Amino acid sequence: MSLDPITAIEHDWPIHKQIAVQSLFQSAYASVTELCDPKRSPVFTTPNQRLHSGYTRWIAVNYWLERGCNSGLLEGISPVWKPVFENQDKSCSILELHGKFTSTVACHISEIEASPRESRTRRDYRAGNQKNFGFLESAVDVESPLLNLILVHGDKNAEFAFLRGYYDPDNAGVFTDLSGNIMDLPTIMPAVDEEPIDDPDADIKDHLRDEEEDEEGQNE
Amino acid sequence: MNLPVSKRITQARELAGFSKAELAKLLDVSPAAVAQWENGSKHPTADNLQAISRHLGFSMPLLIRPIPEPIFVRGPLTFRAWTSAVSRKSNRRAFRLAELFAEVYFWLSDRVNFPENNLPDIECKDDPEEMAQECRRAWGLGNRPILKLGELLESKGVVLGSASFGDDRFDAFSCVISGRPFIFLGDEKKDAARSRFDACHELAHLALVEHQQLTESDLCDPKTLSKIEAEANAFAGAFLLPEETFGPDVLDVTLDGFLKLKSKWAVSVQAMVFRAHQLELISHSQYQELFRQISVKGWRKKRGEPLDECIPEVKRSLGKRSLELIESNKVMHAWEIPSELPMPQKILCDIFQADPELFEPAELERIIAVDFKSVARQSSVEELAR
Repeated sequence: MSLDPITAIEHDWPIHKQIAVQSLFQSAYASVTELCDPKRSPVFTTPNQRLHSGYTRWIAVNYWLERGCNSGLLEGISPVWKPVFENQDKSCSILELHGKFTSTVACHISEIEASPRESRTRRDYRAGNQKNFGFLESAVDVESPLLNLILVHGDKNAEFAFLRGYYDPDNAGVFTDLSGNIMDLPTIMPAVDEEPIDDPDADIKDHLRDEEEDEEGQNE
Repeated sequence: MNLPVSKRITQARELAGFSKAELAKLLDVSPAAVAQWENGSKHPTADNLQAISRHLGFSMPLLIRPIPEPIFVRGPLTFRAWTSAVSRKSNRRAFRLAELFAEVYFWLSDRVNFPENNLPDIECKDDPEEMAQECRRAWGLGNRPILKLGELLESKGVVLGSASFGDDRFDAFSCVISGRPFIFLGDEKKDAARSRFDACHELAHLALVEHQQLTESDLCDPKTLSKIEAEANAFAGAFLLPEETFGPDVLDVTLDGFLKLKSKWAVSVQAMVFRAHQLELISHSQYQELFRQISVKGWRKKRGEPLDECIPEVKRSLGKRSLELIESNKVMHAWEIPSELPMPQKILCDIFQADPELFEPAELERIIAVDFKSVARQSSVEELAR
C-alpha cells in the first residue's frame, strides 16, 4: 500500500506546524550566530570557523526541532534520535521527526536546488519512497512504512526551508517539493497591538523663541 | 558660616561615595579638616580645592556655585534592593545624584516648557489590578501592551535619569523634588525587561498615596519596606500585564509558550510566570516547576533570558529635545552650557543624551586653527608668486 504524499503532509505538517518550524529555524540560526561569533573567542577567527558554524548549526537545528516537539509546538510529531552507525551507541545521532505518515530529517544545503549530501541511509530512504511517490512499476522491492522527507534549509540566515520528498535511489538530486518556502510564511508572533503613545512634547519658552527661525519655518 | 563651597564639598564627597575619613586620606589631610570645610568653620586652601576638584570630579566653578535654595527632596527615596545591598552610603549617593540632576532640570525649566506633572494619586488597595487599572484609565490607556514606556512616563511629567553606582544589585530609585517626580534607573544591568519593570515599580512608589507619605524613618522599618515593595511589584506586574488582555494570551504554559509572548508584552518570562501565578492561570506547582526550569536554564543570571534583545528600552527623549530647542532658538550652543552650568560632564551627557564632545568647544578651536593655517599658506603662495 502506498502513501499519498499530499495527504501525509496535510496531516503531519499542516501550515501552522510549518510556521512553528519557521520560528524554530530562526531560533536555531540565531543560536549559531551567537555561539560562533569570532568576537567570543579568537579561536574562531581562523578560516575553519565556517566548519564550526556548520557543525553548530546542525546541532542547534536538531536541538530546536526537538524542543519544538517537546513543548507541543509540533504536536503529533515525536523526536527520535538514531545513531548514524547502527549498533554504535556512542556515534553521533540523527534526529528523525516522526509523524503518523512521515519521518523527516533536517538537512542544511547551501543553495535552494542543491542536493543533500549522499549517504547509504539516504539512498535506502529514497528507495523506500519510490512506491509512495507513484513509481510502482520501476520501484525496487523496498517499502517504507513512513514517507521519508528531508526538511532542507539554508543558506546562511535561514533564507529558505522546504519539505522535500526524494525518491530516486540512483539520483540524489531528484525531488518533489511538498511545501512552499517555509521561511516566507507569515510569522508565528501575533502582530503587536500596542497602546498608541505620542512622543513627549517640549517647547522653548516664549521669551527665548527665535522669531527669525519661526518666520523661516512659516515661509517654508 | 556655611558657604556654597562647604555644601558642594559634602555633595561631591557623598556622590562619590566617600566618608570624610576616606576623602581626608585621599587628599592627605586630617579628617577634622574635611569636617571643618564641610561645616563651614574653615575654608579649604586653593590647593585643597584643586585636589578636591581633581579627586571628586567637580570643576572649580561648580565647587563655588551655590546649591539653589528651592531644591528640596520630598517623599521617599527608595531602593528596590535596600535590604540586601544598599547602605546609608548608597542612599546618600542617590540623594546627591538626584540633587544635581534636579539642578540641571530646573535650570532647563527656565528655558524649556516640559510636560506638566500628570501623575495620578492612587489609594492603596488590596487588589493591584484595581490600582494599575486606575493609573491606565487616568492616562487614557486601554489594556494593550505598553511598549513606549519611557515616552509615556516623560509625557506624564516624570523626569527619567540613569544611575550608575558600580553595583549591579542596585535597581532603581525615585523621588519628588520641588513637586517634580524623578525616576532613576540603574544602568549597570543593561537589561531592558528589568528596567521596564523597575520603572513601573518606581511609578507605584510615586503614584500610590500611602507611599508618597512615607518618611525615611518609615523606610528603615523592614516590615513597612517589605509591604511597600510587594505592593509596588504587584502594581508593576498588573500595569504591564493587565488581566483582561494578558490572561487570554496565556494558552501555552510552558517556558516556550511564555517566550512567545515576550516580544508582544515586552516583559521577562520570569515576570510573566509570576503574574500568571498571581492571576491563577497556572497552579502553584506549575509555577514552582517553571521557576525550577528557569533556574536550570540559567535565565535568572544577568542577561540570561533568550529574546532580551526584542525588548524596547525605556527611552528618554526630552533631554535631547530640549538641547535641540536651545540650540535652534539660538539661546546658546551646547558647548556654552558648561560655563553656565558647570556640572560633571557625565551628568550633562546623561541628561541631554549627548556625547561629551558636544560640550567641548573643540570644533570652534579647530576652525580657527585651520583658518590661521590656510591664511599663512595663502600668504606664502602669494609671496612665492611674486
